[in-house]
Amino acid sequence: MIKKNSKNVKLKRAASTSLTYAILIGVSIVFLFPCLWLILASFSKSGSIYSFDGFFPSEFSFDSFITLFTDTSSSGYNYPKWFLNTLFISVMSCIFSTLLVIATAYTVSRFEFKAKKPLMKTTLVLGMFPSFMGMTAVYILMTQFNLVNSHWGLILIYSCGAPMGYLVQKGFFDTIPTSIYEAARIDGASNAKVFRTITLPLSKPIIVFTALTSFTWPWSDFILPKLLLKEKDMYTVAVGLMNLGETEFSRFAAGAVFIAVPIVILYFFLIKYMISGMTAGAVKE
Amino acid sequence: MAKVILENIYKVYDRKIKAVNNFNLEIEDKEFVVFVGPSGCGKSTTLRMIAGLEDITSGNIYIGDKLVNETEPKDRDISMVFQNYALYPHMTLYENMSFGLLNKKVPADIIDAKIKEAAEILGITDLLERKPKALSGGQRQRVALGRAIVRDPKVFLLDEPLSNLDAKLRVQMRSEIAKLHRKLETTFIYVTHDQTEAMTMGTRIVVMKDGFIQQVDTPSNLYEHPVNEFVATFLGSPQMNLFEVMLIDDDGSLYIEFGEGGKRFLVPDYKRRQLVSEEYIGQKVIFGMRPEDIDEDGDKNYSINVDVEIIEKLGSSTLTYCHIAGREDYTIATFDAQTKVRLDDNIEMFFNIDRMHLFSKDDSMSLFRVPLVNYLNVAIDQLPDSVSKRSVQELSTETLVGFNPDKIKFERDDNCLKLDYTITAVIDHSAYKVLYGLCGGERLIAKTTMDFENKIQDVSIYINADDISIYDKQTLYKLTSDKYLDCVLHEGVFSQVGKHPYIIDADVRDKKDGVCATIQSFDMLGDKMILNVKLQKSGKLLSYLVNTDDSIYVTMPLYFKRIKKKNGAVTLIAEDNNDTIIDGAASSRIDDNE
Repeated sequence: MIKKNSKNVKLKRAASTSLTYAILIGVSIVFLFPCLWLILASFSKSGSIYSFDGFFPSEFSFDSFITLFTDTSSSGYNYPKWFLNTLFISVMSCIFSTLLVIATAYTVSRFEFKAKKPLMKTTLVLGMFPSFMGMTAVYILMTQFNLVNSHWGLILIYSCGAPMGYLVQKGFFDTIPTSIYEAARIDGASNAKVFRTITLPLSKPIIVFTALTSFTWPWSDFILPKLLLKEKDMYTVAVGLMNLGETEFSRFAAGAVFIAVPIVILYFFLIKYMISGMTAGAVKE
Repeated sequence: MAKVILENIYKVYDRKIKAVNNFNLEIEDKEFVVFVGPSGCGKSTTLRMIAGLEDITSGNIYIGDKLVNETEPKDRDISMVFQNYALYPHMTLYENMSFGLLNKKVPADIIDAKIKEAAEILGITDLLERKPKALSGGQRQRVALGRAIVRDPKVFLLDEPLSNLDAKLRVQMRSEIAKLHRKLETTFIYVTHDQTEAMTMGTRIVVMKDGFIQQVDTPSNLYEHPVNEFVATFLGSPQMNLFEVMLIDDDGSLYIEFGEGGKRFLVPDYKRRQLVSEEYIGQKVIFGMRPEDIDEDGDKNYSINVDVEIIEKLGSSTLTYCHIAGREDYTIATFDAQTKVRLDDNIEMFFNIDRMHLFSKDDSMSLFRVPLVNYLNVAIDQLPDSVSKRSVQELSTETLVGFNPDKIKFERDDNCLKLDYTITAVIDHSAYKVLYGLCGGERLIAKTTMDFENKIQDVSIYINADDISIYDKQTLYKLTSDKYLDCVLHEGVFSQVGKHPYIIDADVRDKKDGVCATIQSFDMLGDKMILNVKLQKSGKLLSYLVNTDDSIYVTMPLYFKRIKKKNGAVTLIAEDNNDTIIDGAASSRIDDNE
């Protein structure tokens, strides 16, 4: 009797595990299939999507990747130039946004000031509107400041928009115990010094997270560059690829695949700092 | 050499919640003072105000001889140890300890020597290169102490440093901190909610509750002479047993009676003499007896029959929870470990009557306390002139003279009231003596640091005119203010209208409705209080006699409200006071112009 029962339990457990795995596999297929398809498409020999045999390309080659970097003169499809443009905008925005977001979050987390609550509420409400709602206004503002067709205009928008999403970072700073700051204050450190010597070293994970997210937004954004960049030489990768002709689908796919490379490198470079538990041992939880 | 003086400290949040209420304390150099009380009593807030981490609403804090109200924490010459250690997690212990010194730009070799020395004292020399996360709780707290030590502060502030440690470690660290105090010879201020910590470590203990100081004294005095029921039950474990009894006088002897017609205990005569007032006789009071003062054997006159319901063997002693007929709460007695008492026994419990405590049923104050004021029947014309000059209203013959037992002096001084005093008993509280006796047939209690033998003796006592107040005989309301009034005393009504406190006054000029002022000082008289206020713009000082309100504090902002004219007369508009009528053509007008 007991044996039979235990067998039943085992069976049940096996069934539920299999079900979990089945669901996970199903979900990952849904997620990964488009990526796989894009990667395969980028290696397709013929450029057009119509030459695919069913779902996948019939012949494979590196041609698309080669033309991507070599064919820069014809019809102004300068992928390397676009790539450098994107890199420049993203790196600059990343640096400025991270500084601004961290400063905003730290201020809101640590200091009490009169307009703190209204300010937090306002940003929360404003953050609920999608960014492209303000596009017309942004465009007009940019023309006024003569920043249309300028990379700095984009960097300005990305950097200044970033602190709106300070909430995650604030949440992190909130977890650093106040008593550490108080101890540092008693130890004679100024606010700036506390931030530099205590907060920053403790906040590596969140700074890395902020840097990564503020790099990827401009890196993959399409709407704003499309709106503000008029000359082909100024394009970012996303806008440039969009301008490719229908017949050059594999080239498009190759460009899209290659654009992921810096992010992957950045990710592998920064991941080790994102480990949690930086504050372990500071205080008794 | 660092005394810490806290003078009339208030901490008020949102202009309403008083976390710390009129806190006055003088901490001597090298003292180990413990703030103890239940959570939310304001003890940590007070410590943080001394540290400078929290602003004070009003009052003054002196460290050494320096007023530090506005001084940054780092310039106060203090160190603080936090409950959760608050170590810098990304720094090694060495870096943790050197951080403060580096900020002070101390040369590296001196820092090194200091850290080595502190590490030696605390036994953490081997750990200096480690980071906090590699340490146990006890070691971390040692590092936190080390970080405090290396700065050579004038005052050590410790905010519940042991409450995160396990029981065994706590006992160990307790003795280590006490040892540290002896070794460093600096002032220690220690906050805890643990009465054992307070009793074992402090040279003096400050018991707090709801933002008020309940009692400040040595551990043994607090235990032996608690000033009220709260202090009595907060200190001591298991806590003091309390019984509601009747205090009755039968044929000149004083008894406590358990229930109507119940068991009677004779109160010894010397205890009766220590009563703060005879007026409690014939009333219900609270009788207190600590568990260790109840024995298995003793005087038959002080025994009660009980049923034993629970027995807890602690090894060194036995806690016996007993049930007395007609009483809901358990009565707890601490018996010997070898006691013969068994569960469900019916036994006699013997009270050690010399160790009895009595508390008032109304305000929970001890009947054996040193009173705040001695009231005496003294004719006003006997008093020095300056006393009646401070009077707020005309003095009738129905008055009493009052003064603090602290203020009684035994040497002639100028401008003093001289009285003859017969001392009948002297109780030694080690730090001071309490004298019980009679003055013109009335009970008078004095507190002094002078040496007196415990025998009946006649002496002369002197009370300085400034320390004397006059009270109404019926209500015991004060009729004199503490200070000379420099300006005219205006009548007004104090009220909270919406968010702001107002004084409603007949003489505020129409357009100046809402003039802002701050309270400079106040003096509680009874149902009335004197507010000395300063107008914000002109800096003009005004004194008001208003109804008493507990919400006030020094520096409280105050507004004025005009009075509406009604049929030519001027009427106050506060809801409760619309019956008061003041002449509209009053003389002085308030006008806050620069």
